[in-house]
Amino acid sequence: MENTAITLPVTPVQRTMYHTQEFRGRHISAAIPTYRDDAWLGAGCYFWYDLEDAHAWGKSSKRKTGQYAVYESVIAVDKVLDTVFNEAHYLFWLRQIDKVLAEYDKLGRKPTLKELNAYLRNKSGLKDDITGILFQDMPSNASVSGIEPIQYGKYPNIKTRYFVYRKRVQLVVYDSKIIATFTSLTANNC
Amino acid sequence: MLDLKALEAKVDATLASETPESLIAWLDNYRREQSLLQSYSEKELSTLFAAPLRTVFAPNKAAHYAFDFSVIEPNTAPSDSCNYKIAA
Repeated sequence: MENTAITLPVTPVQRTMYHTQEFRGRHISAAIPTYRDDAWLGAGCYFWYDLEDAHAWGKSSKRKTGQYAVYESVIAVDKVLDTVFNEAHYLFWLRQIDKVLAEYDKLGRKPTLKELNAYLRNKSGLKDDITGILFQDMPSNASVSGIEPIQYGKYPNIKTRYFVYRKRVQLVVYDSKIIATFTSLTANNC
Repeated sequence: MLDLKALEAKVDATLASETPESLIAWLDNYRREQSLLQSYSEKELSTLFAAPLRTVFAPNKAAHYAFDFSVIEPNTAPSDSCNYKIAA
């Protein structure tokens, strides 16, 4: 009988990922950290797992100069918390977030995800151990789905809803020393 | 490799020593820092962060960030709000 056992990949020690910035006439030589208030996981350098998302982000959110640039980096991820592909890491992450959240719930306060993460990093001292977090949501732009929306409801009140099957994966890097290489790939019009 | 057991022990120890007052104080302080951060223009931040962020915002505390924020640019991360649990 054919052996159909699935071999799970070993957690990689490095990943190739993509960084997007406005293009201001010349390429930058290092990734730029964000301080934005709505950055999911706080201040750090954000990288995309998928080149497609790096371009989508440039077109949608790096429009100030009319051009954006995409950079490729090899990043050491041996001390990155991988909540996307590593089940143990994901469950660890959930437990810690839920524990801190439970403490705030008792007080009637609701911290944001960014604040919870900051608590874990700064107050609990995880910043000394975790150099970044691999994280995901779903692409918000349904057109990237490449599939027809699901239709439901009874005629004539048919409704549609897109289900985006592809994860949008990002890495926030807290310790820039893990960014081993930083290479410009392209500068495009938005 | 991350030692998840050791990391979890750190979190548990921190929470065990937390009081309601200290927890609220930490969150309020963090929000004040973030609010201050957002009040600066990109140009001001570029000047400010020529020094490490901790010397600007938290001179008496342990470092908040590993970065030397020598260059700062907004609009790097998605604006979408995000749930930390993966949707089934």
